[in-house]
Amino acid sequence: MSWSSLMRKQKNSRFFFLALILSLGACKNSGYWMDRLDKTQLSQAENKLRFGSSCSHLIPEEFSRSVPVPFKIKKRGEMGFKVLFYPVATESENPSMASSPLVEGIFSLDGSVPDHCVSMADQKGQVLRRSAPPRMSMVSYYRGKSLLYENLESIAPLYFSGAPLNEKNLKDIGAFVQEFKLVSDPGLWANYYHLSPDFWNWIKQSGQTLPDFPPLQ
Amino acid sequence: MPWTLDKNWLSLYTKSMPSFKKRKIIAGALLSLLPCFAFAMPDHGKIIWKFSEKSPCVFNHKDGAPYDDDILVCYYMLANLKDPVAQFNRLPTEASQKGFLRMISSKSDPAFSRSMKKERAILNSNDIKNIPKETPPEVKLKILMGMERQVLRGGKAACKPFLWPKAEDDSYLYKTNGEWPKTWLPCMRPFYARWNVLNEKAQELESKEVSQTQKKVQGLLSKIKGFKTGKVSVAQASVQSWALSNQGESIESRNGKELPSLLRHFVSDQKSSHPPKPHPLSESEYRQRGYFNRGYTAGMERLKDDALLSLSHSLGLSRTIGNPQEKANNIIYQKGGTCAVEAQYEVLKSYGQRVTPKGLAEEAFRKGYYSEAQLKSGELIGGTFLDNEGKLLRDHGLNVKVFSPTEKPAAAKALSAELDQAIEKNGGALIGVEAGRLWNDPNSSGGHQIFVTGEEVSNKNGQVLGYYINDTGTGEAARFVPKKDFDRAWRAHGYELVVFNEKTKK
Repeated sequence: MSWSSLMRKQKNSRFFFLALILSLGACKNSGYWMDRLDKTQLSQAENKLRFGSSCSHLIPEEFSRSVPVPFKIKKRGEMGFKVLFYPVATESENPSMASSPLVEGIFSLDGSVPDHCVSMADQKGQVLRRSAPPRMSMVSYYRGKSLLYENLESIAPLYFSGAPLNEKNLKDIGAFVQEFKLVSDPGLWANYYHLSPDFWNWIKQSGQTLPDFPPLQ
Repeated sequence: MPWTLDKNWLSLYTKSMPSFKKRKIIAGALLSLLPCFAFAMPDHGKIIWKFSEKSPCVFNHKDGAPYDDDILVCYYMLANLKDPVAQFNRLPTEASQKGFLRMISSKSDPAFSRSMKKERAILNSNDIKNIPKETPPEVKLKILMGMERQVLRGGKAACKPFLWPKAEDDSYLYKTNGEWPKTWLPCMRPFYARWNVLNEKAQELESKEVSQTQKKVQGLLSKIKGFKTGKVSVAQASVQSWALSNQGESIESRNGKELPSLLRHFVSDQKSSHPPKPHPLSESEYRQRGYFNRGYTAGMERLKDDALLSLSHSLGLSRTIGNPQEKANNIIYQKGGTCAVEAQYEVLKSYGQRVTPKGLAEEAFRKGYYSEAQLKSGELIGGTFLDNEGKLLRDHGLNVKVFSPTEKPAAAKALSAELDQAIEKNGGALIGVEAGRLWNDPNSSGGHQIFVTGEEVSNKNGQVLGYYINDTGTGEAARFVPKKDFDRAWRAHGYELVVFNEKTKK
């Protein structure tokens, strides 16, 4: 056996093992990602808000919830997250359709804002296409969602503090935007922007291309 | 010649003529009008005036008369124009009415041609003849189910310009309960007909799948029973280890790969996807369970799950607590967002109460437990507020305890124990879950309430292996959900739990 063929073989086997390791890593099932998502502080705080006494009387069992968006009001020293709750009308032919959100929930991880919900009933009326990306597998959806929440947990303190961003921070922000575009409900993008324009402007200033937020009607 | 004509006018015109002439003229007039009657009721007595041979618009109108459903039939106009009736009624003269309808017709005709073209394409591509004869039955079934979906979905899209009025809302609170209007029939008929053919064949194949697998597992069981004592214990250990190692493993991750070698040897269909015998013993039981309601893959997974449960029972490895099969009798498909109401319907039925899904939904709406609203776009949304959970059961004489949802893991353990106890003592409980996780479908989100009708418990250590549920959202009954999958769906909805029992009679 020649030296070069031996090298090639070795190289191939290296690639093989690398591919094997990578594919084993990718084999994590949707349950793994669900567990990871549910372990995030943000997801737990959202649940606490939804089922807590300040909100449960406003949110029906069947409502969906959006991805939380950080907000801050410097004057009052409030730093927290806003989340939307909205009904979904499922049609057999189409992916789910989301109505405009009917409840806005506010919570924080450090207790600087008390958990509370505000009814947005006057906005009722418009139906938006939700399409939590159609044809997405359970694994990729929950993988995307858990990474989105984890990234959000790491970038939100940066936004709150307004500290200068290093390379790693920028990378995290990039990952957040990418996952947001992938798994958030495009039908609600206008609402997402409206929740905290300051946060999205901060993202934009970091050099990221924002999702194409339509105007809120 | 006038473009409208009625019986009176005709009789006046012919009164003065000799009778033989009259007969000739009337016969001639009738003959010349014959083609026009092709689209109208013959006893109407009015001339039908249509703008094109192809157009589905039929016009049979008197000059200046206001719009009337009986004499002007143009679904295209009604479906595509804003307030067309008012527009039509505002027109002052015959000529303007005619012009208006001509304009409609000039748009309707091409739309009709396009619709016909789509119809041909859809029906051609979803023809049972396209499936090669040698296709294995399970593949054929999968293709047929896909065709069924495409025929209805494609048909609705092809007919869209002519579908009027809008389908009724899928609600118990409205009269027609979500049925499609009869006026859709002329356009949708070919699609309905094709769907019926496909559905009949698919059902036949589903039954075959089940009976074939029943035979396979029967064979497997007789082989296992025929083993010597030592070998039986090997088989038992094998199934036991599978059951324990897989308790709660995600269904989609399983695919039979972790089956113990002994089982894999006999259940060779794990690869060829012939599932082994499931629990249901009769055709009606099998239909009731709605195996394939969430599609082919989910149906096959359910059959495999039930087959393994059959084996596990036969080998004495696990037992079912509760009576999921009996409660499967009460399964229904919910309308709109009435899951919490209809889950309570199932509970009340299981206690022998005389209730109907519609009656209970109306009662819940009247009492303010269930809310329903129509959005401006016409979509219907509905739901039950969390603080109204279980109230219908209470109103119908049951003792009810509602456990507030929680995100705390410690409380979750206690709630799990409460659920197990409720199943053991009262035969079931209601829980809230995240629909997408339960249905393995990321496109479904939001909360959902289901009736837990039983649980599977290991005989060795009493560990819960999974739960049986009735799900009004998918129409599935006695569906086995492994514990881990069940917990993930339940956890995402704060472990919401409603337990109940009958009041003791004094």
